[in-house]
Amino acid sequence: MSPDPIVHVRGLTKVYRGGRRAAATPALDGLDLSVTAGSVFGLLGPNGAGKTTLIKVLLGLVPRWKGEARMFGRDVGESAARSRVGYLPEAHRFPTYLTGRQVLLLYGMLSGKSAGWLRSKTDHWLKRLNILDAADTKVREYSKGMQQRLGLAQALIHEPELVFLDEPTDGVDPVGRAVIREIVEDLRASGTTVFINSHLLMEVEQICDRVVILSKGKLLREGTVSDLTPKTGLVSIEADPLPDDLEEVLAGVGTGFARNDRGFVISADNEALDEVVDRLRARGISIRTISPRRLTLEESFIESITGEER
Amino acid sequence: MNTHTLRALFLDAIYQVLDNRVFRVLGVLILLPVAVVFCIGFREEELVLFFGLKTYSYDSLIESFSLSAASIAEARVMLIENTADIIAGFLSGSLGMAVMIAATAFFVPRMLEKGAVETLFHKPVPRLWFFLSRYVAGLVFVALLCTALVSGVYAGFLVSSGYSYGGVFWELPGAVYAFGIVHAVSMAIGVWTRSTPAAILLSIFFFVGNGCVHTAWSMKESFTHDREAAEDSDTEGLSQLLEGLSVALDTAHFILPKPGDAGRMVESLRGNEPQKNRSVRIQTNGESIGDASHLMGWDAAPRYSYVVSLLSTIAFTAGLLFLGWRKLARADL
Repeated sequence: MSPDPIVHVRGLTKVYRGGRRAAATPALDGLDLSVTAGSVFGLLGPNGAGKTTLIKVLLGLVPRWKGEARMFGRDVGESAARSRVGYLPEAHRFPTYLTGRQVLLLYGMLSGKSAGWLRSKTDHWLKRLNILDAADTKVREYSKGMQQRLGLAQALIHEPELVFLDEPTDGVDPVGRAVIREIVEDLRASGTTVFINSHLLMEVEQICDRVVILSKGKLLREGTVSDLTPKTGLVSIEADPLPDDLEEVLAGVGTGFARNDRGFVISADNEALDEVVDRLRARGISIRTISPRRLTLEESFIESITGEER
Repeated sequence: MNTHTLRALFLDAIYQVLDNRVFRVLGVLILLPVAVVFCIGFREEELVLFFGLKTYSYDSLIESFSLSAASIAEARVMLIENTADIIAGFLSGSLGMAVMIAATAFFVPRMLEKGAVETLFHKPVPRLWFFLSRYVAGLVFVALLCTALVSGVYAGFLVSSGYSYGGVFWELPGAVYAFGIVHAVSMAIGVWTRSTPAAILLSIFFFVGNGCVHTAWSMKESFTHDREAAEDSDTEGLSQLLEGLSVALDTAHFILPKPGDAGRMVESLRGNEPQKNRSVRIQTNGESIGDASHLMGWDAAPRYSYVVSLLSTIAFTAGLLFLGWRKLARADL
């Protein structure tokens, strides 16, 4: 028996009313989605696909929608469900009159935790995100990257079971990004469910187990990262030295030969690949790497979106 | 919602006030009148300025200010209490209110800015509580400043004049009450427009317009009362237009909140008569048209009753807060 979904959405429809002259825009159009606990989800889609609206409906930020939306088996309107959720909004802003430490304390208390409990956690998160030195500095003096780190700490300090991260690495330097990836790994290990909404598809590919692609308010594709990045049938081979008559050496084996700086790419099944290796070795060519090429998430994403538009 | 959440909302209100630059500037500015009070010594025998640098006899003061005091002791008390009330009443006056509105009008628009609102409102706390916490923050802002001013004035007269005037603390609830009304206007406008300049301008516009309506009504009532007392039947000659205006003025007066009554209600609670020397008086055709404050009281007819004033003001203020909250509750954030 499969476990109860942590997020369950059925027939979710949200239409933003336009102004007097603007037409009403459906942001979510009968969306069905069910998410079980303990995975890291990439929430992808082009601009206006409904990603942020979905998160906002789940977090009670957007009223007047139709359909069914539940978290932890409770209606999303119930505050009890939201106390188990952490959220890092895109381009978030904290009150500038607070220090970093006060932000974590107050926002943690708003999630129902006691001040004493939060104080015991604050330094851990500030240190982990490398902003402990600025703990007692007003947020107005934080750089964008520091604010982003503080936002992540705010989303996690009350130890939520479900976390929504909207562009979590936006404005963060490479070292900070690595730290954030590490934290997401730890969340996964501890059984926390994480939704990541990011335009950096390479990052999503690196971090996420599963990916959900939305388009025009509907679920377009859903699956593991492997499902969405299938093998292309192409094999990339790096070899040395590369003779000028390489194409002739491999004549009649595989198809779609294409040479590049370090080697070549060829479309070959296992049998053909063995033949390629034999011929190269027979010519005394050293084989450095053989790697089957998969579709990247970005390619898969673009293919899905353009395919749907056609 | 639990106690931690409520505490967080309260702490947030306090932090927001204490970090406010206008609050700090006002805090420093408050020290000026307080310092002046410390430099004025209303001694038993004479008025001593700057710790003895200059002295004035009460006889000359009574003559200069045409005080209607029966004795020097009474003149001294009158001077102290009037001076204290005028200084402490600054915050509930027009200029004080305008400064307070300008200092607190950003509370709601800033909370609703993109990026800030999502971070806050996704928490398991009803939107009403966030809205009310901003309202409370405004009241805390005024209460703290008023307490500092009133306490300073009280301490000043106690030290320099040896006179304990506890009545000055009555200015505190009056100022908070009056500000509570205007702050509700500012909050509602803040939710609807999400703009600080709009909240400031429209609130001040409302405050001034509201004051004009009540002043006009008060003058009309006094005029009507005086004519009735003189059994003057000329009022029958009032044109239909004037009667229509009169009804409109009555309607507006009873619907709109009455921050101006705060001072009079406080005076009444303290057991003092309304201070006519601080009320508006206009001379027309050689006759004096005053305000209707002398007609008002807790036991007066409903038209002039403080109870009606209080209830209609609370209803209006609560109504505004309700409209603001309703807009907020239904908003896509």
